[in-house]
Amino acid sequence: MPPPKSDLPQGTLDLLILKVIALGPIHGYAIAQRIQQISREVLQVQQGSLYPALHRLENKGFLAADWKETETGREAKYYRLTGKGRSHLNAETANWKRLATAIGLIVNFAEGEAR
Amino acid sequence: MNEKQLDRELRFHFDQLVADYVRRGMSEAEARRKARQEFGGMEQVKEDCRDARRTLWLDSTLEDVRFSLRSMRKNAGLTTVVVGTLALGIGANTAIFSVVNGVLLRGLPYVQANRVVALFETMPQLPQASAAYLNYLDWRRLNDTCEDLAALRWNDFNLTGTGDPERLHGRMVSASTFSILGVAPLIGRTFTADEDRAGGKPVALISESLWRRRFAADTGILGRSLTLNGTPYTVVGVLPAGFQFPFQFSSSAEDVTTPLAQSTDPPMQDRLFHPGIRVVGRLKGGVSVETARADFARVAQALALEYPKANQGHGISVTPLKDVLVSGVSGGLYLLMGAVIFVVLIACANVANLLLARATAREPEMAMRSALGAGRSRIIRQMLTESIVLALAGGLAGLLLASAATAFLVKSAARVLPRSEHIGMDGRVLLFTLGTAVLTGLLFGLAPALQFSRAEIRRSGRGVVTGRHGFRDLLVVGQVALALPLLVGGALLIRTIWNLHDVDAGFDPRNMLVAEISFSPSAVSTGPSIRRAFTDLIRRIENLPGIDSVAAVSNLPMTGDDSAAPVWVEGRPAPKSEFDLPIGLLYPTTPDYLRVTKIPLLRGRFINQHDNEKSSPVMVIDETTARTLFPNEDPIGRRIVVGTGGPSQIIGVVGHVKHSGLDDDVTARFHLQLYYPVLQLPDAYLRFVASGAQRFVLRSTSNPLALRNALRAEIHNADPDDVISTIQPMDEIVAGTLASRRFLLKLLGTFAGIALLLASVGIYGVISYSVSQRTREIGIRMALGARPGDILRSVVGQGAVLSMAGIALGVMASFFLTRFMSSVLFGVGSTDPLTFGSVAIGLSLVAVSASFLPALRGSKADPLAALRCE
Repeated sequence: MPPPKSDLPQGTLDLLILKVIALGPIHGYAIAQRIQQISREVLQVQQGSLYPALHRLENKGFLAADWKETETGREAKYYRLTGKGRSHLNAETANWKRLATAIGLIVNFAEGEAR
Repeated sequence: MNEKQLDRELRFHFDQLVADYVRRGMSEAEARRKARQEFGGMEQVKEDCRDARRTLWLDSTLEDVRFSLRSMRKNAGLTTVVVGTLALGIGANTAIFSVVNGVLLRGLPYVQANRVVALFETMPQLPQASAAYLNYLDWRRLNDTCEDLAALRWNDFNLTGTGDPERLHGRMVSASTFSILGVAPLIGRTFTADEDRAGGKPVALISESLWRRRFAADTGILGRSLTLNGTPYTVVGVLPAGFQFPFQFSSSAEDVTTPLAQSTDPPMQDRLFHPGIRVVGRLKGGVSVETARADFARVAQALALEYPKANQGHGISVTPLKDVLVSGVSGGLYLLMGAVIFVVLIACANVANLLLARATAREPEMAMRSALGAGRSRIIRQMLTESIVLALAGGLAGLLLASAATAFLVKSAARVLPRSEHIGMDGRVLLFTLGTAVLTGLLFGLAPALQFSRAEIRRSGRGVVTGRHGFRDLLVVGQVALALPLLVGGALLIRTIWNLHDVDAGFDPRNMLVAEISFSPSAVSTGPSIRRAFTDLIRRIENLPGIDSVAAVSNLPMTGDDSAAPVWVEGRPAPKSEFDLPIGLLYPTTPDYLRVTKIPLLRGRFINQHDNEKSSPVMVIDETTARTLFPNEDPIGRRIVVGTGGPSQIIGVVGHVKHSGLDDDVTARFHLQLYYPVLQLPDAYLRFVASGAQRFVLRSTSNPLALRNALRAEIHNADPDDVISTIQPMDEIVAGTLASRRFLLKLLGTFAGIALLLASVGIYGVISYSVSQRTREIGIRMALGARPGDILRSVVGQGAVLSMAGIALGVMASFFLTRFMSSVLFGVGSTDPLTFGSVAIGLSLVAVSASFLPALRGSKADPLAALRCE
């Protein structure tokens, strides 16, 4: 049985995409694969969300794209992070960490109370 | 390009997915199916990507436009009706706007025209009077706010000595005119200050058209001599083509210009009895009109102190030149602009109704789109795109319609509108049309678009009585309400023109012919020769067959002339200022004038051939003068003084004549009328009068036009150098005074007709639709025993209720709106109950007949078929 899938909280998809792309130029299909792998199959990104998000980020100037050949010899659109995208990623990562810590605190605290 | 990349990108993803599944052991076909399943709607993803890129707007709009054009082609009938309706509405708006633009909005064709102002003398009786030349000179010297002032005066010239003698319209202007208007001559030069003074060298400028027409555009014209009014003038320049001095109607081309100050007319040196100078000025940079007004108020005060007799109580008005030129017509034009806005609103309501009906038919299509994931805003946008495409098509058709209409307007407007030569299509008109089209598209598109988006996946009810379409009813009510004021306005104008036709002008214009003649320069050189020319020509014309009587007159009624002077009764206290006196219209004339015009003689006698330069001066007054100046006395035998002349004895009283038009008001400013023998004028004034055009009026025993050629020949026989400008039946001149009202009526009537047509089509459409929606209800009613008559009544009743509501609203709106046309009405109040009532009844009859046809169809329905439908 596949592990239970988790819905992505609002706004976090952008962060994940930027994070994955930060590792090096990569095409859309590989981004979906990579997110799935790294999250140990917990997070699955639908094409219906992935591509609009990519195009939005590109449009905002966080990403740039080039058409390159893949190892199988086909042309694919490779995304890479721009300088602006990198600083955005850093800010968002810091944000996320702060938020996660805060939520963790509350969840743990609440559990402690209930006990 | 982007689209292709997007496609490649997604296809790559899809192929990778398939390859992955194959690698995991699936068959190719299975892998594909699974991938497709997982991928979801490829188009949806693409749409979302476009959304994300915000290129969406343009791309999807183009797609919508393409779709709209397709659906327009598919519904050719509907499209034709919609585009036609819009073409009428938008076309009418464009045509009127092009007139408003040309006449009111376009700048005058002078350099920095917004700084050019017109200056008038103001006095208690007259808000805008022309200036005395001496006053103009003082204004020019004393003011601090204008760079310079210029003086202009009309003048006509007899051109002789080169081929056929010709009467030319022209101007006498100060040398400063050219720099103020910023005009440079085509060739040659303008006047020097040295030429613009009494005794200066006689020089002239001619128009480009005269130069072409008479002198074959030969540059050798410079330095040549032209004989104008018997005096040789040296041509120093040619004014550029199309150039016009201010204060003129486009119909009279002006061909000759001479320096004003050279004029030796005695009135030029008179501050009281003056020839009427028009003054324009150029404001200094940065000086506002208000500042100039204050400055000239100071000048007026100084002049009133210095010359109390002539200038006591006088002010000086300063107005932007353009405002002065269009002041008489702006009201009518804005009225028409309002009328066409009503027309386009009615057209919008009609189109909205048609599209609403179609929207109902397209509900399944929209439900499908909505189910496929089109959002509410997306559907509204597509609908609005369709509407705007329709509106643009309508706008284009309207533009074609308008350019044809505008050509017609320019032709018929030349007589009634100043600046009509500026009417035409330009960037601003095109922009206006585009704006109107887009706005109308949004307006009539909004209703169906909103209905669509509300429709979503609503099931159309299978209820017996479908809900009444409140909004569509509202549209019909609105249309009727909008049409009514136009119809009322048209009806009020029709009544005005009828009333004017019934007006007794005070004379009988039938079988009257008017010839405008200028005596040859040799004939007008001395007093005796002028008198001889008058009597000789009258005798010659009298002897022509078919002539009943002939007279000469200047200041003929209804020609726009209004030479006037203050009137003082001898023996009464002298007035403080001449402007405390009533003003009388002056008619220097000859003995048979009453016989020609059939003006009734009420008391005493009229001028006869014994009243000449050797006998004592006599005067005939009209009944209004008798009543005003001699309320309880017998005027016969009293002596009155007119202008700066000597006293004359009153010998008779005649009927009053409508001088300035059939709508002339006896309370108007010049309502006293004074006749005196032209032959009794002192020589100097006689020369002044005779140098202008003379009107010879004659009564014929039969059709006066048949006399034209004989008249021409006889005048030529009298003196080959006499110039005939026009020969015109008096009927035509009288009708001409109605021209601007007829123009207004023609247009307003057309718009009211369009409005009526559109509104009745609208009622017909809504009632037909409602009958088709009520088929089941009607079937059940008839099955339950209702008779066709009951159905008919019920449906027609529905139409009647709607139109009554519209009429009630329209009557209220009209009460408010028609006051704006009260200035053009005559003999009928702007809220005349008879007009309002008959228009309301007429409109409701039209409305009821428009709902009768569909009602008849409904009542003839077979109840069984009706029940089975749906």
